[in-house]
Amino acid sequence: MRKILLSVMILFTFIPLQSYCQSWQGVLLLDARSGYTGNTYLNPYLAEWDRSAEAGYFTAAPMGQISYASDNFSSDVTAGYIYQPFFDERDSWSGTFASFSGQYRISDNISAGADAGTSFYSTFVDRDLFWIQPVISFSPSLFTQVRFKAGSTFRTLHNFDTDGSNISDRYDSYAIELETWPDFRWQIRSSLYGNMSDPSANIGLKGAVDHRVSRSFRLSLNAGFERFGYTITTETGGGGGFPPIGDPGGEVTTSEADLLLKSGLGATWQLNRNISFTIQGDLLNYSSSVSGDSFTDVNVTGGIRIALFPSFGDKNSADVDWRSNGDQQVVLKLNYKGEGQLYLVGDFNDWEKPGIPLSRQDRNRFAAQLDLEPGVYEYKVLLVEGSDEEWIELSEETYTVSDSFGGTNGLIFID
Amino acid sequence: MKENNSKYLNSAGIWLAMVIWLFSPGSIFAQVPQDIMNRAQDAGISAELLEQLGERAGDRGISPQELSGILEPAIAMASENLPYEMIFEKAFEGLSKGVPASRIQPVLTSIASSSSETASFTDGWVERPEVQLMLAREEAGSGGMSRERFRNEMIRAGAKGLMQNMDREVLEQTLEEVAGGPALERSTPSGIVTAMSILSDLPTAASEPAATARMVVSALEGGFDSEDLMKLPGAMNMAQRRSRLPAQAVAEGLRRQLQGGSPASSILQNLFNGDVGGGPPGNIPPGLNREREGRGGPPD
Repeated sequence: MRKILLSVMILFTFIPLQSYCQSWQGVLLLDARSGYTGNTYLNPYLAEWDRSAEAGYFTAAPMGQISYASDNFSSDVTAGYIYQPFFDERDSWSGTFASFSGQYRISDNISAGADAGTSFYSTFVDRDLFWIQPVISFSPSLFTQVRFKAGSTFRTLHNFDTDGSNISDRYDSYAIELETWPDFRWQIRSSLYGNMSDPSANIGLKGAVDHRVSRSFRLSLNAGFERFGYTITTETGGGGGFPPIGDPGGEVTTSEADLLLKSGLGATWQLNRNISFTIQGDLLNYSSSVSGDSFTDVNVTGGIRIALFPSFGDKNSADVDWRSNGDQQVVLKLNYKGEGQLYLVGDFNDWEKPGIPLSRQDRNRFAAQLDLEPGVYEYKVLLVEGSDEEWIELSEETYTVSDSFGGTNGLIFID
Repeated sequence: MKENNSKYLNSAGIWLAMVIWLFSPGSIFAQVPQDIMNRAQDAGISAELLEQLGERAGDRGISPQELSGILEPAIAMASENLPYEMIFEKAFEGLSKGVPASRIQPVLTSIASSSSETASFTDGWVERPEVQLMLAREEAGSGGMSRERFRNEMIRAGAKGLMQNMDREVLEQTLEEVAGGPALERSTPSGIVTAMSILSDLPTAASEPAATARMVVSALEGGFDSEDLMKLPGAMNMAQRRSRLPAQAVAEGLRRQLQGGSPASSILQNLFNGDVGGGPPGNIPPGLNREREGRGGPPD
């Protein structure tokens, strides 16, 4: 059942939904990184507790997300695959996941919805996870949001019991998340989470601060605390002979806990809209209330993230991106899925058809270079197929203005 | 580019040659009332533009009366020393798109009246010493936009706002705030033109015009360039969808936050993005749990 659900969600994520272009947005991500770890619990994706070796590893994670938004309803579906080989004798790890989030705005400040998802991870153990949790979001301002989540997670660990059988359990968890932007350069996120069945035993607190140093460079700092409680039962006294010596025999139960302290520092350099490079270093300190022992593990990674923003519009919509190189030369690039020859027509050529031809760079990508003086220019894209001419509508992502004739024009500003 | 062309083409010799062509028997202008042609010449309208218009109007089967209706707003603007080229651009656009002349004429009339109204408050603003200082700084630096072009683009941007039902008071107030604050020092002529242009495209323009204007001024003061400013309308729409807040709250929140001066688009697109994958935290990792079993000490 869960595998069917996962398949449906992945399929839903990657199907181009042609007929709803006005409200859909999508992103395809490839996150590839390599690093060194002493405890895989610090890994960014497959965060399982394994300290069996200190080794290098590689992670590749292709993911896709589709978002839909209307006046009061918004949702997104995310799905991905993770592949992680180690540079030692361990088998490679892998996993797939899919999640859905939907929210409805109840009032100006409050929205309600649910998160649901499923994942199948194959690490040193095969683990299936399915979760669903209602979410209430409170937004006291545009730049601050508090989310209250509570729900159930169903987990199966394959062949994990001492006799080799599966272990299936359910845990009910809660989370209170805060995200705020004190100003445009700072983003602060924090969350308090735990297990509802025993809130004081299993509890976590984590926070992250992101600082945008410049347009393309960002630093992030994170820290967290987790407590995993458990009980130890020991037999005491009772010498067994007669008359009894000392205390009568019995069991003593003590509450113990593993404490984890985590902190990390990362930097991201955004090369352009599609490519960013990142490095990240994390520390984890473990301490046990039973033995008093503690140790510290390290995880260091560096990698690249490639983001693509596919257009889900119909083929008659053009997504235009332009850049000025400072010498009044404008390089205009356009994504278009149809056939035929494309031309730019606008103020710069007195709207004379057919206009400036766009050269095809690859299957769906066209480009042209314009020499323009500083100023504002309106333009349109003309499709010519044989003797037929058609004005191509510009995508929602392209800045357009009304042409006063009931249509729209694109706009170029030249400094 | 066009200013230079106009300057050269308006010389008497070229005009003479054009007049001969314009009134040749095959030209549509031969059928346009002489009075209109005289007024076009007196107003200093480029003969080259007239020729272009005549050719295209002829190709489209525009009648002399309809052509006169297209010329009248241009003559009115040229007579007021307004950038009448806007009329020709819009007429060329309409003809190119196959818009009937009957629908082109009212748009041109609206452009002429909106431009005239805009010039009544932008011309004085452009001549203010602090604005002239910015233009002089720009000319001394990278060159950028000429003073005449800046004035014309400001009129174009203001006219666009008025045609989209922006209140004149809001446009004037925006210019006052730009001139009275640090925006002039931190921005460029092109940035200010862009700010004026996007005003009417922001989702709060109709419902909260004053707050929208303050927000745009804040963006200029925050050092937003033309490229960033052009992303504001889309970024605001995205923020509104993601935050599920009313547009007014988005505008006011954005205005408050713009003081930091970072580009809006990249940040707003990331607003309230959660982590992906993994599932909710809150229970013991299986590895840690396994290492606990039967133990008296920590794992490893």
